[in-house]
Amino acid sequence: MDFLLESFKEFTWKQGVMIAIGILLIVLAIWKKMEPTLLLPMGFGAILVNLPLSGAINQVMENIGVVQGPIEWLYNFGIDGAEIFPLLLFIGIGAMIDFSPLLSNPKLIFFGAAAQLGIFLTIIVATLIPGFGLNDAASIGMIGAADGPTSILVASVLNSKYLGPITVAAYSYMALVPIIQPMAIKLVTTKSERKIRMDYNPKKVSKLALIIFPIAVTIVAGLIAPASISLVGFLMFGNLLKECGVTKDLSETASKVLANLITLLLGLTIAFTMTAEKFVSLETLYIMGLGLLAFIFDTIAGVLFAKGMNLFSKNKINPMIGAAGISAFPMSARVVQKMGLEADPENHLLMHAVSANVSGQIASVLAGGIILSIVPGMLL
Amino acid sequence: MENLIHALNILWMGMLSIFIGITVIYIIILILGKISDFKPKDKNEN
Repeated sequence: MDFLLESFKEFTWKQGVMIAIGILLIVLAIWKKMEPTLLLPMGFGAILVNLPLSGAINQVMENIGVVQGPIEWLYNFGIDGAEIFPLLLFIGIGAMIDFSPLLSNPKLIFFGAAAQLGIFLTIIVATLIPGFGLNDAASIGMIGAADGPTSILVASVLNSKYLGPITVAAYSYMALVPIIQPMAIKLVTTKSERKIRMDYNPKKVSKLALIIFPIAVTIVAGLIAPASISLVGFLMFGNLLKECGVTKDLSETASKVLANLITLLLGLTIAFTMTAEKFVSLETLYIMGLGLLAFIFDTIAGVLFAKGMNLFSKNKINPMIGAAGISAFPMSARVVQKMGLEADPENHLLMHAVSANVSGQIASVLAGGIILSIVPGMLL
Repeated sequence: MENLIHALNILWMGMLSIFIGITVIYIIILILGKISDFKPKDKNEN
């Protein structure tokens, strides 16, 4: 009857820490409603893979050999193989995005580009920390994309050994946008700047324009950053399903069933990278710190870019709109709307912020593709 | 130190590429705006 005690003998304190982290993620998901669709499966998965001799991951059994664990199999198939899980999720996300606010107010698209600066500044900081290779630093910087699937995809393609902590940081900080962004915005704006009102005169967007847009963006992105073509292409394919009007069932399946199914599997699968020996380390703490830094850099870069545009523009832009250039949709736009109303109860910035926020979704994916185009050539 | 130099290169190349990409998308949106403004002639119009 020794086998009953076998797992107790194998139990380590690091596994205990990881099980506690798993429970913490479940608590945050259920009671704090922090990205529950991903943090709940990840938290439960973390418990599954960290129980001693867990059958959820590959184990060597006496007289039998290697027995495949389902979570490790899912990881090898869905993430390590061709990154198919995050890519399929992009189809679902694309089918949910409405680009019409951006098409009706296009000048705000540049905020999406400016707010990606945090990615690159964080890469620089990460390279200064011993232990992180360039592939790890680039993957950590991608937390600043505020776009979970892109972060997972880049870390996976660049073969970073910190995929687990990067994913946890990316999704945690996305959920914490309503706390992080107001602090960062207040650091670089005055109350009078936050009071700036903006006229909203949207142009009408035709159906034809909405259909051509995803096709044109795919071709442009593919020509500028070929490595981004799967990222952008899957996102835009999902959007085309939505906008074309003849694939309503497919669009609904992509935005609901496919997105939910892949999110469920992705959460469980990522848990494979949350085993104690990979996760419990000083580097994880560094990654959490760098992720926070990336979000702060993004926000400040967006705000300062807006201030810079105001130097040359007759119609002033509320600098907070720049902060909405990150990909965390719609949290970031809501933060800007709320802060605008706090500064002036009649200052409604939501539609402008939504336009910038949508542009952030395009720019973050583009940034991921560009990182994948540049970084591999620099690796030793 | 070598990684830091690479990171600085990634910074300028990355931001430049993103702004080029976004500018091209901006131009596409402007062109699409013109398409939206274009109204096909009504067949019933005499």
